[in-house]
Amino acid sequence: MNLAPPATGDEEPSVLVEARGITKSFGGAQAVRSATLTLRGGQVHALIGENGAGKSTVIKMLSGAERADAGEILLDGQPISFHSPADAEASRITTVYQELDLIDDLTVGQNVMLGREPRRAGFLRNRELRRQAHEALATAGSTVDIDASPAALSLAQQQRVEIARCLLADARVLILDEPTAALGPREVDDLFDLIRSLSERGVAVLFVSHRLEEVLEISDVVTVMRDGEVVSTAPVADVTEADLIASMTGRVLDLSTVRAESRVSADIAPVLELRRIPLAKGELNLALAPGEIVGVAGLAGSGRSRLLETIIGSPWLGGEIVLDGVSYHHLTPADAVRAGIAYLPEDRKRLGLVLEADAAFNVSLSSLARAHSPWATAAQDARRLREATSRMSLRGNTSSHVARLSGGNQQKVLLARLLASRPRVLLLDEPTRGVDIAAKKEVWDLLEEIADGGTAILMVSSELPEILRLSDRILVLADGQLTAEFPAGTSQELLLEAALPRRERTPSVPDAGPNERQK
Amino acid sequence: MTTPSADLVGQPEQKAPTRFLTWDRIRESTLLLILIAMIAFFAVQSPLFFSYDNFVSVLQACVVVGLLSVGLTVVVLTGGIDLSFASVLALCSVVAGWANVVLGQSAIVAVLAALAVGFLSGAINGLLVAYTRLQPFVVTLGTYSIALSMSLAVSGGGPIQGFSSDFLDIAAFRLAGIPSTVFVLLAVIIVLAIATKLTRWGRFVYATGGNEQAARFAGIRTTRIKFSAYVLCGVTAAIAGILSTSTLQVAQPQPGFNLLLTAVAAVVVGGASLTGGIGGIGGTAVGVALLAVLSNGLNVLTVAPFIQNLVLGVVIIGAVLLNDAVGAKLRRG
Repeated sequence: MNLAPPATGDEEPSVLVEARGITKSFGGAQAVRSATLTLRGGQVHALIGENGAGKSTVIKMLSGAERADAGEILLDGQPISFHSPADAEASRITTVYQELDLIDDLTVGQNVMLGREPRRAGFLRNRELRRQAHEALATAGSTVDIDASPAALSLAQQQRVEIARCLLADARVLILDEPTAALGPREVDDLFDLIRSLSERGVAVLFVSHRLEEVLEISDVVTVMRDGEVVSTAPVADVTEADLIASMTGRVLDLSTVRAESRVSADIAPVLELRRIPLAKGELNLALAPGEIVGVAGLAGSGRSRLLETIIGSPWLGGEIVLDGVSYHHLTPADAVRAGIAYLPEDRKRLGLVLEADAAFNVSLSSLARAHSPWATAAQDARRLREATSRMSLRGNTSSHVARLSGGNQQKVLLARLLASRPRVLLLDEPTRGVDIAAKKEVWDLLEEIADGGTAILMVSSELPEILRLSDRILVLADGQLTAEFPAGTSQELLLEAALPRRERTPSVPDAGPNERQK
Repeated sequence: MTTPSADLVGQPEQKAPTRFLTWDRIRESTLLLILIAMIAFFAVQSPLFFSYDNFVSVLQACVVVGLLSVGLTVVVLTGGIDLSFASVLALCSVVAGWANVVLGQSAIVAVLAALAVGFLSGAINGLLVAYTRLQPFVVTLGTYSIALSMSLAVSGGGPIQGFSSDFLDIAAFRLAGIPSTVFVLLAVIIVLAIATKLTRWGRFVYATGGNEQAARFAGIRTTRIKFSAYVLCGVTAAIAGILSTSTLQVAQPQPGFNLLLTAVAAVVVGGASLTGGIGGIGGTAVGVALLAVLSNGLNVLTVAPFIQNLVLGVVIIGAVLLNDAVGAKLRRG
């Protein structure tokens, strides 16, 4: 349903962009379902939702990075179709993504003017370039040296350079994807001043954030997305933080799918002990009992993936790991697998699969790494694949490249790899990311079955229903530190509240140097 | 829920045959067909071509390039490249010559010395590639130059002649007219084919080249795998150096530049992808044979040398295009 007010009132700012019923699927999974969004000149519009709610996909459709499968986008009332981000920029819809993409080999000024270099008779007019770049940076409220390399700038400064780029494109719509995620409080205030001044000039700002207090502070209108749908759009004056949390988590959770209490008793000797494992802030001490499933909830940027990578030693940052009474003071990923700690990375294509090999090859890798025999035959591979897949249904042609399998089946291939190596502990990063709902349920059942067999599971997930369904115990990460621990059977609202980043928890990093940049 | 047994791993009855029709196999058999067509073409064009003696000389022409190519294939499978093997070959040759001729050591000592030098050269490449962030292209370009310089230093700048008879006997032995060097090549091909296809190490080589990060997280010590590939490439270069020295009865301190190009060409014609993880020893062996037959056939037909290189270039690009087309087709299915 569309709660946006009708654009009839005289005082209502004019509608610039209207997305009507836009829909997008990726490999069978619907990321956005019939979303409707109205951006008005001079308004700051916040878009919020949990991870995977579809915010990024909506942004990508508005900015031309993805094309909608259905629905239409109107600019000034005219339907438009973007084939590339350049098209959108030509229509003066500009986007600053969370992952800033300045080119380190160019100067700040050259980055600002990229693709818009003033030329005369084919030659660059360098002085003119510098003048225009300087002007754009000044408008964006940036005082950085235009001859500096972006690599030498803090994230906040880089963000300004990107915004200057947008201003040069004469932006009517400015989309900011999690612009405050990496900023300190003072930098956030500066950014908000800039947003307000742009807004006063009639620019429509779409502001995507996890931080509700910021949303309430800066926006005029807030739209909440959940599970790919827009669930509400309302003036900020009419909502409270509690309302927003309720809308974000408001899916009806079948209570029978939430684990009411822990399946393991507290007095069993642990299979895995993590001692003083360093986090971005603070450290982690955790003992996992055999068969226990510990969920780690956290939003994007909370340090979820980092946590698991630190445990398997990629890279090793210190601390101690005790597995079945054997103590390790240093691990590499290969050591971890050989010791019996199997790891499922979140990015299965980049970090998980050998895409141009078949399923049997992929399933066998970790078993071979743990095996003693130097031989490896296709027959063994096929047997491993059969054994592992007897516990799950793997569909598709498994004798061709795994690149051709669907996301869900690729994930099952990776899970099969973990199972085939008979690990003592599973470390899972987003085990059902990009997996359709039927396959999700299969994966969940499988994980419970594995845990019932005595394997301990540490599972990181941004999906609260998944956490609540499987976990015997729940840890919450926000801003790189542990913020809470809950027993099984807690509520989505409590989890989300602990997972939302708070400004007071973010230390000020006024002049974060190059080291602070994320890769 | 569907019944678990029905949709396990495709259909059980179709699994056995599909396992034989892997991408590599189809591509190798396409190449094999081209090789056969080429042989048929030359045979029709010239009676000189289709004779036993000419067959033996084609095989003999395969030995050095073949040894270099299969060693290089393993490196390429890990996603690397080795440009140094041609001058490592020369260095190993002159070290064998120095041991045998200058120091008067036996053939066995000369062979072991050459193998040790090949091993060390490979180990240096491997250490630099696997344990630093240097790119293999740069590392092996550097070691190419270093090995060349050392080769000239050891030999004093000129060829080394006057090998003992036991050293020359290595290549002199023939069975059914086929020289022993061909059997050494065949043995190396078989050993490496088994090592890459049937051992854990071979799997790890493919996995490392296919997706190094994924291989690492799956528990593979990818640095060791890369290191071992370069060592192997150094050793095959040493074997090639020993055999060519024994055949030609002279140790040349400077490698032919063509050797480098031909070996790389054989690897890519054989279907290996320079990005790693794709290809195989079998494909490379067919690639080597294809280039040897082509070069021999053009010689037999007395095609002018400058045209020969043109044909060679066209065949290299054509074969890679074909590999790509077959691969893309299979990927789309």
